[in-house]
Amino acid sequence: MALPDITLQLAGESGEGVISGGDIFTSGAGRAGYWALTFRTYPAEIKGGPCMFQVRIGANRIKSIGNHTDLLVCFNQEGFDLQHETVGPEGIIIADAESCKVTDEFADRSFEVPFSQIAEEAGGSRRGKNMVVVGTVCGLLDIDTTALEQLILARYAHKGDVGEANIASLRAGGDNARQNLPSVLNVDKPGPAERERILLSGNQAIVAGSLHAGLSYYAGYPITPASDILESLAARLPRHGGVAIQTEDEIAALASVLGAGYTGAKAMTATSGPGLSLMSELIGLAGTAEIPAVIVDSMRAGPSTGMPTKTEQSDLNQAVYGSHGEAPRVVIAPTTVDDCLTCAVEAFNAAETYQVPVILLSDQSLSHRLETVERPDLSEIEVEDRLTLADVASGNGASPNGDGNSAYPRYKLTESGISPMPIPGTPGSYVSTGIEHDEQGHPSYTGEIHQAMQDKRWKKLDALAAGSRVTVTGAEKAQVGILGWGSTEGAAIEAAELLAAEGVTAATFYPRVLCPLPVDRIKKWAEGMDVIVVPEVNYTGQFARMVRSDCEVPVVQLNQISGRPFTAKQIADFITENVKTAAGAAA
Amino acid sequence: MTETIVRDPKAYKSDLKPIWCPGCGDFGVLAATFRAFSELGLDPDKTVIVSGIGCSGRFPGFVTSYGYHSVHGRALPTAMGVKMANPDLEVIAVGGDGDGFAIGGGHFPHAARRNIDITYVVMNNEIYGLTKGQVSPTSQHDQKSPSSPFGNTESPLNTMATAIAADASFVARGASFRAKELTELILAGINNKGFSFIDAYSPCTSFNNTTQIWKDGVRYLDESHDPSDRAAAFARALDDPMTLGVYYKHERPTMVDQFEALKKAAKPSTADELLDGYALGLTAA
Ligand SMILES: Cc1ncc(C[n+]2csc(CCOP(=O)(O)OP(=O)(O)O)c2C)c(N)n1
Ligand code: SF4
Ligand SMILES: [Mg+2]
Repeated sequence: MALPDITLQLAGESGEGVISGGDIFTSGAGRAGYWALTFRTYPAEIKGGPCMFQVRIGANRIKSIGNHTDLLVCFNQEGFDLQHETVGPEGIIIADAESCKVTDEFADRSFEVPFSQIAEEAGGSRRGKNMVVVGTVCGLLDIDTTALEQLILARYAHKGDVGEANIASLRAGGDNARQNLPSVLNVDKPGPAERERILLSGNQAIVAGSLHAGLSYYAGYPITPASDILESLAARLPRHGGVAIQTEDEIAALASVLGAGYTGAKAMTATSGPGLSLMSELIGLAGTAEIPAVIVDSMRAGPSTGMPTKTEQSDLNQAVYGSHGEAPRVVIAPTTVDDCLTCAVEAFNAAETYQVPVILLSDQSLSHRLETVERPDLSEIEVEDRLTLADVASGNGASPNGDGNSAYPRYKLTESGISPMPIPGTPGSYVSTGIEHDEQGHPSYTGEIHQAMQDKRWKKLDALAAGSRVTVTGAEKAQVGILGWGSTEGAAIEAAELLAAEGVTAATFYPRVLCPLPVDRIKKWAEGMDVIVVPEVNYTGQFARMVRSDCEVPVVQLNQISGRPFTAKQIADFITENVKTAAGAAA
Repeated sequence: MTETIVRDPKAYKSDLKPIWCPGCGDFGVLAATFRAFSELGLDPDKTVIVSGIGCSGRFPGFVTSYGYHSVHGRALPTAMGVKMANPDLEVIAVGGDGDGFAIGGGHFPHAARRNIDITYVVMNNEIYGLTKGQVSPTSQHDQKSPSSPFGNTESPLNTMATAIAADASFVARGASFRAKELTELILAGINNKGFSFIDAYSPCTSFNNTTQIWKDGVRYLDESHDPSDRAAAFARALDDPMTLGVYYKHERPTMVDQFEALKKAAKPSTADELLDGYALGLTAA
């Protein structure tokens, strides 16, 4: 019987081509029409150390990392030792004949292949090992390698006949699999694609979205897992007429982003938790001085240095509440790779429209996973710009400058709370300031002004809370509602499907904007649910607490901090074991 | 040719009354700035003054140009963002010795290294004025203050030597009470293409009244001093901190020049073209 999708793991030592093999397999499978979603672990060491590449491929869109490994390929003994526990009850292991022995429990579902030897014979070098592995996988799964071979040729075009040698290894691996391995694994063949697809990571999608939104100033300080945003924008932004700067720290990064935002540019920085901590004070300034800015936080496991290469959703509190005083800001959490692109544009739109700092919360697993998604039509993703003084009717209280008159009322109290922003270089000079100020931006410490200005700065976000995007699956009435945020959505939707197969009705609700929270809509949806579960990759249940306090909705927390994303099965099993009974009892 | 509008120094004075104490040196720095702006005919709508926090940090509010009152210590990176977002703007960063060399000290060498084309004026009173008199990084050794009741155990930072070490493009020392010379230094700093640093002695009459000591003590660099000679500049900087004048000049491509060149050399592109690179080629093009 053919499976709708399979989860493949390549496990070995970094330096053996595990990751590059996985990457090229994923692209090749993608070009052959398979949908894919990857997950990888990074060695803690700078060079060497164990590494693993996981990809789930199938005939339909892949939503999560996969419940267990269907096919584990071990490049060496350590690969087996570290990863065999992820292999499912029917999962298959292919082990390197020269270096890896599996344990007895896998004896009847494992096969040995002399990868390096095949590579040497076919391509003249044992270094083609990873290509033999890829060929073996393609042979076993009957995946056409035409597109893969073109990719290999393109990748090694400048390296003499390395490309040809790699193709020879790839084919030899495939031939060996077809001749010597039993046909134990079958996956549904994909149908023809209706629309073009792209294969990219969450961070790459954020970069694309920010460029579509009109990013022209980027500043950042290297940190895992956000550094690749700095690196790709350093290469890319000059082509879009912008600049990308590596600053001396995250404080300088955000300070300069705010300077650029004040000057009229669409500006962004990207960091991870430690960097966001350093930026806290300036988030308050941006909220008070009403300066548009986008801050990407690709979350990693904390606290402190924590587990820098592992995923976690533990910066929600810091994003929503961080900074002293009560500083308005917007927090947006994308749920998939294509959503990273959409949310990046929405982040700029919110920053511009409401003149606020916007924090875009990704996480390591989402930032770095490769995912096949339909190619978005960028012309359909609307880009919004701030309201400038030049946009509104001429005059409008602006004083001619240089005559000693009062400044333009930059912080004018308007119905919407949004005041037109003069842009340096054009008439309307004023002083942007974090000191409490009157409409002119002049310092003022009266209780009345403070009240009026906090009202203005917070209430302007009401419109956003009312209209923000939410994705819902399932019926309005269900036994279980899964309420979550960010990258857990795919696993939650799949968990709901697993539950449905067991006769439990389940629905999911994923708001994109977490601050301001769409309280009314959450409350309304919650009314239809017998029990609500909030899965989060964090320890304390940050979102669950927010929902309890802001929406007054009781929820059951599901937390894990393994450094890995949730699988659908983890969520479904938790619900069947703990919640179904509770729901049954309540009913 | 763009029309140069002649503006009186008063044209730059906003109707906000400075909150500074009587005799505060910052008045002198403000007046010198007005005169320098007037000489240059700067358009207030095309000029941005960026500051951090401190008594000196209130400076932008007293000028009719655009202003940006950032948080403590962050004037320089903020000014970088302003300048890089619109290189046509004239950008001046101002602040105190604590703002620039304590909390913001980490930014100074990088602003100099990058050669951001801005002018940075530090109102150096060797004290924390706004927080009422604690020692600062430029306070004297043994100086008593509320936070150094037994005398300062730390030695003052040599700001001239620091700036020369960081290869700032223009390094000068002035004084609030030497109005004409300070005006000239600010003018020269703005005219210099690159990162211009002016450390202006600016006495705090309330918490560290050095007015008389400085008035008596300051002297000028020899006419023979060659600011293009870095070693000589260092020697002068190490000599005697109370010496005024232009210590060092090193004109070279600015941050703006370099990024403009990058932009010019780059092949224009779009986000859609970026997506092309990720396309799987599943549908006929
Ligand atoms: C993060 C932060 N820490 C501390 C302060 C308090 N603070 C305000 S101004 C200042 C020092 C001012 O000294 P200086 O920079 O020399 O400026 P001056 O007042 O002397 O002009 C301090 C410590 C603050 N505003 N922000
Ligand atoms: S406290 Fe000192 S620095 Fe501040 S205004 Fe008064 S004299 Fe000037
Ligand atoms: Mg001071």
